[in-house]
Amino acid sequence: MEFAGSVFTLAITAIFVQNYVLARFLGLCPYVGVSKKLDSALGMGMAVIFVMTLASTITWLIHYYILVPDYVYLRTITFILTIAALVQFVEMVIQKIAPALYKALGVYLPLITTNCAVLGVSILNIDEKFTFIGSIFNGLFAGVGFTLVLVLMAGMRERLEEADVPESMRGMPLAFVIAGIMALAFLGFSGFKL
Amino acid sequence: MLKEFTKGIVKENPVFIMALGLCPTLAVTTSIENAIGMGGAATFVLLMSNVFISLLKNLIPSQVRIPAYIVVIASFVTIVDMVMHAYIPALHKSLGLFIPLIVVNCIILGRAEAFANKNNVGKSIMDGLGMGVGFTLALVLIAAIRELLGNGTLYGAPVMWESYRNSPMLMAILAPGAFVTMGLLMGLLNILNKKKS
Amino acid sequence: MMYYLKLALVLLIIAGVAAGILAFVNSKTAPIIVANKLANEIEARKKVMEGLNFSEDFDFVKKEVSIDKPAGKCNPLKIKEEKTGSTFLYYEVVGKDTGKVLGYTFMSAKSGYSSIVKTMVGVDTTYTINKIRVISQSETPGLGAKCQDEDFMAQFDKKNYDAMKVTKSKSEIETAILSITGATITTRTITESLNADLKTLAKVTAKGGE
Repeated sequence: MEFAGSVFTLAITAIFVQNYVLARFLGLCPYVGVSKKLDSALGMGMAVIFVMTLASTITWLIHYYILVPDYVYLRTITFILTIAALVQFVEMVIQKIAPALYKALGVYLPLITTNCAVLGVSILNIDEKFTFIGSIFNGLFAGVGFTLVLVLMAGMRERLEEADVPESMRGMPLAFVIAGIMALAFLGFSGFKL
Repeated sequence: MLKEFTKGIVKENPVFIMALGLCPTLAVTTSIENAIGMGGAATFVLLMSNVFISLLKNLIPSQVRIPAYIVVIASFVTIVDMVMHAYIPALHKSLGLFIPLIVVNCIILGRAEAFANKNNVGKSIMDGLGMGVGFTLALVLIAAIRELLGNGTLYGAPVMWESYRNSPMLMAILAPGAFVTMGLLMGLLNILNKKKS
Repeated sequence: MMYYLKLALVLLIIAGVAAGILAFVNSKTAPIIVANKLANEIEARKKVMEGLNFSEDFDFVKKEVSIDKPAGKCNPLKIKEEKTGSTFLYYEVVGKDTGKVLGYTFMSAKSGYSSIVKTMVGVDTTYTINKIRVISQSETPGLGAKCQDEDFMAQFDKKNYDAMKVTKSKSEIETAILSITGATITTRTITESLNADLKTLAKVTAKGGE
């Protein structure tokens, strides 16, 4: 019971209170880049959830079984290489065994290597001293939080296509202002200390 | 030569025009001090990786160039991380996670791929410096606005009157302020660009 | 085949050189990082005793006692830190001439809103706080991070542990700690961790030290 409670707390924290995009500023490039269409936002989101969970799992094992205690200073370099290799590997596997899924997610996978949220989660798992199980859940929920705001954003931007906006604010500038208003809404969760 | 330097500052500004490296741009701009620290760290990594990739461009087979670039960039990031931790621990602490995350700053990999592996060392140095300065200036500009409104200070020195500093516009320094400031600045630059042309 | 071997070899050489350089830089910076941390603590320890006019110079003597702390709520998703809960570490301020205990300093740490807030505390022999210094935190900039402002830290001067309560209204400022705007959690964290550790200190030292 205590375990389930902790998982629930972690879910609320990672998705709402400390949302990786709106409160921690991670993964902003895809957030403004891939949020023009709802379909692509959903595809990107799913790909990120998948890779983030997997990356959290593997980087945790690498850190505690290979890097600790002598090679901790190689953390950044090993993590980013692991993530890059992982993304390549996932791409190949999905292409072979699930061509339909590859068709949906394929274009987003290469973009994920430079999504700082993935490396960010991997490093935070270590910094915040999560256990193995904890970091898997943290990766999963971070991905869910990312997908949530990405999809919300895409929904809004699709409608704004029709709106009459001053020309200089169209596109990127407006996306940021909307993100700011969303961040304001998410700030409401920050009173929670779970 | 000079053109390679100046283009990064205004015409191809990595933050405002190309919209790259957004995460640190918004995350660390809560004070000018942080902005300069992040800008300096990123400029160093950008400069060094540009130099090395430009030197090594004929030795690295093109199939493995991306992993090779990542290794070069990650090494310099780690060096910056360790040196900052040793000599400016307070700044290192307040930039925190965003120092290792310089690795995935799209500006750096982007310049390696788009410029340094096609040009000679001299040009790559100028390009790296220009982009770095452009990035730093953008960070400082955003940080100045946020620090002034959200804390009533500039580079730690009190600027606004005392009653303002006691209850400043906190939103500017919190997450929403970062996004809104960025959006409005981009819009403003669009207007300026249109007037010029 | 030869071609792929060459690719692998190039990558391996680059990675090897990089690792070598990093190992070298690490061997240079790691000791400085440790030394800095230590120097910071020593400096903070001296700072929190400033303003207490003793008639003699003093030294800091490290003391470590085991206490039975009730096991707090532990999160099954986080790695347990080994040492917490079993020992309490503090420094006695001992006069150089008389050898008398003039006060104590200790470091109090508790998890705040988004980071662990570490506070160095100096108290006299009546367990009244002389000064505190927040020496390490990464709370929200503009909100919780203001706990390192001098104005905030000065509120704790001359406070007794049972007198420390957090308030949001300015009229009670004489007796209580005024919460940082928008960062009640950080303020409470610091106050609570000081209260708890001061109580422990009082208990431990009243027993006659060892």
